[in-house]
Amino acid sequence: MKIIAVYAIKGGVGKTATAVNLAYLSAKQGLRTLIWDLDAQGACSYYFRIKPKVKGGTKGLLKNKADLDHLIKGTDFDGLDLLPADFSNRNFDLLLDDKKKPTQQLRKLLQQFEGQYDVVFLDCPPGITLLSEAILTAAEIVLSPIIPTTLSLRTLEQLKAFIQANKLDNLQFVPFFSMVDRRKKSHLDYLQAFTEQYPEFLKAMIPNASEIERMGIERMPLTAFDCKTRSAKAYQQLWQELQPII
Amino acid sequence: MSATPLTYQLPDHLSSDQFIKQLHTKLSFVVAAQYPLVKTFYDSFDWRLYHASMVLEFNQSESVGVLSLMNIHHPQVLMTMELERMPTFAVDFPQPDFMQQLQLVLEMRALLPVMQLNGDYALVNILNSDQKTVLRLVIENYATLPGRIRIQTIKGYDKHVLALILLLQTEFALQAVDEPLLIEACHAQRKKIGGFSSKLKLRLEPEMRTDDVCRYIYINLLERMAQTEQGCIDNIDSEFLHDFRVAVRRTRAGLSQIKQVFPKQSMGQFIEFFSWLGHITSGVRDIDVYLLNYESYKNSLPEAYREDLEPLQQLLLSKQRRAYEQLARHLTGSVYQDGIEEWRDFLETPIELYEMDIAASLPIKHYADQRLWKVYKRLLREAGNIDPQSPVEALHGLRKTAKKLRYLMEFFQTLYSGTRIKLLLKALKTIQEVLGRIQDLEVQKLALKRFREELRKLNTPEQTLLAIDALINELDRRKNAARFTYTESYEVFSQKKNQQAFRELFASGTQTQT
Ligand SMILES: Nc1ncnc2c1ncn2[C@@H]1O[C@H](COP(=O)(O)OP(=O)(O)O)[C@@H](O)[C@H]1O
Ligand SMILES: [Mg+2]
Repeated sequence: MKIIAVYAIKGGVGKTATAVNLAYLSAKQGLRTLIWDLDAQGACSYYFRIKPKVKGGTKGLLKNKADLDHLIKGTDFDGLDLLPADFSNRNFDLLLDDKKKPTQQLRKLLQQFEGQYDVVFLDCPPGITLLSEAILTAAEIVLSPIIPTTLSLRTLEQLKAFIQANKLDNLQFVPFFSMVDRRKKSHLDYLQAFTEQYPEFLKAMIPNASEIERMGIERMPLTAFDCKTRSAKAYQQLWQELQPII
Repeated sequence: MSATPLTYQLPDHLSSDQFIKQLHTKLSFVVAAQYPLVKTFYDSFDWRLYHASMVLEFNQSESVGVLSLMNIHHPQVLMTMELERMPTFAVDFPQPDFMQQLQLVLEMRALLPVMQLNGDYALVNILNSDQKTVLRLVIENYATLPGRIRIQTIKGYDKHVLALILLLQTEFALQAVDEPLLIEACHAQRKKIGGFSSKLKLRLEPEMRTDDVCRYIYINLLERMAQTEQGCIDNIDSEFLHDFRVAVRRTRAGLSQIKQVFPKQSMGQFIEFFSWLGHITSGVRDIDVYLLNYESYKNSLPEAYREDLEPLQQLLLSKQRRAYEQLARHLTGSVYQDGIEEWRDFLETPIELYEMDIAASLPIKHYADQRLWKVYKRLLREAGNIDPQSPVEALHGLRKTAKKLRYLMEFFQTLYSGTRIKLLLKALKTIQEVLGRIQDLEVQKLALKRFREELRKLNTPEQTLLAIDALINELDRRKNAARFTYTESYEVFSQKKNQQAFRELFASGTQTQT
């Protein structure tokens, strides 16, 4: 079972869009896939038409960890299940605070899916919090969308520093470009500068494209309703490029 | 959820279109797919999937083929994949999950179509207020059977399932069906399920005439050959040839052991014919056996040698191909066809027209007692002269006698008390198997030496030859080990209790011989 966190310090950079599409492609390829909506906004659950409510709230979730399975919902796509967000996720950080080894909690919770799923995607909320620390401790791969701007460069540095500070040596850090606008000269300049400085960037990049916003209307992954578009192909490339490490 | 009935039968007066139309007034849904369908069930000749509670279903429409592996008792799908053509062996499956799961059950057995149904397929997604699919209905109509509706649940939406079931049962008055579709179809077509056993199923009565019984046995064996013949020609699964050969061997045992029933002069040609059949099939079978054993050969070597054995497998595969081509020529040729026809003619000749030998009109029980007792005593005599150090040829002779006795006992089994003869058969089987193993290992060892020589002439890498040498040593070691188990199994077989049982069973009608 591979655990992939789609994470960035910034919000609105395409984390959820990426998690949703890659999870769909993973299931389509025949891998038993789970996507866990960890963001209280519940955007991910929304894309799959699943109510973001978790019975008993997150509190129950951390108390009775044996029982995550009954919270899972099948999506409309074969082989793809979802663990919905809950608005009380807001309290996730607080809850983690209560526990003895808070950052280990999520990893422990995920252990029960060993053998049941081949791939687990974690759709993460933004920010650097106790929850993000728990997520990065649990994940084996952190897939991080980066918009080619100065600000993103700074958050990228921050994230790397964070990973180092926490000694997450087994974590594979995989950045890629998101919402790329090739008409913007600044984007093109940053693309080049970043790639030189950070060879770990994936080749595939996700363009800034209006069709991705249509996911909110169709309420399903772009790769499921229109696999011919440029952005859908970009997600496919991204997934292909990840194959060797999965 | 497992107790909830998930499959329902469509009554005759309700087509799937009508059903879908009526559903409109009750539920929100979309028809996700609808097309004509050919459904083929696959299993091995011995129904291994069925016996492991699995069903492999290949659904073909004009545009796609979908293969699903299901539990026979629960309609939930275990695995599914799109597929153009059905592979023959588990190892040929493109998807690793399928390959592993199937290989576990099928091993080296071929998949054969066991049942086919034509009909229509519809997939209906039932939606909630968010237009989210909460369950699916698979609706199938068949040309020759009542249609079925299968509920496919989606994790986390159990409530909707219960609501739907209520609707189906009350509004549509549908009945749940338990019987798996494959089973229903087999019943409808009077096809045997799970069926196939190389055991002879002969029902004999003690008073039957011996010549009658013999014809009955031979015809039975001939049928078995007819059933497996095409499978040998097509080389679908090595099991066909194996079974064909068992029938040939049993016939030969009958021809040599059941004496004084049919006139000697008319039997000569058949003895010759079946001996020829044994001959033309034995080389092919040997190669099948080497290939079936290949994995175990390989695994008996140290890890570092295993890959080096690969050229041997290639050699065996090419030999197998050629041998089967040759076999197919024989089995479609006139020598075989004419020989079989004459044998059948002979067996179907009305009894009045037979020339009879002295034992022909004896009651079969009487005849069987005599024969079995005689061969049993011969076996004991031969076995008494053998120890683990005896030459291989002596063991080989003993094995043949044991086999003859076993075949005779199987022929006449139903004349004797069930449990007793079964126990004796089992004891006999044990020594026969040890003897068989010794002989097989010897033959395999010699064959490997020949293959090694062939490969050497083909400039095969030295490592491969070394790996084969290691294997030859291993087989030799196993053979010697088997020789020592012989003593033990013979002691079991010949223990007082068993000797007594043989005597009581067979010698009761032949008081003169003790
Ligand atoms: N590559 C893209 N091009 C254009 N719009 C995008 C792209 N990726 C995401 N969006 C849109 O931007 C918004 C934020 O994206 P989202 O994936 O939710 O980001 P995050 O999860 O990082 O907060 C959404 O409305 C989404 O439709
Ligand atoms: Mg998000």
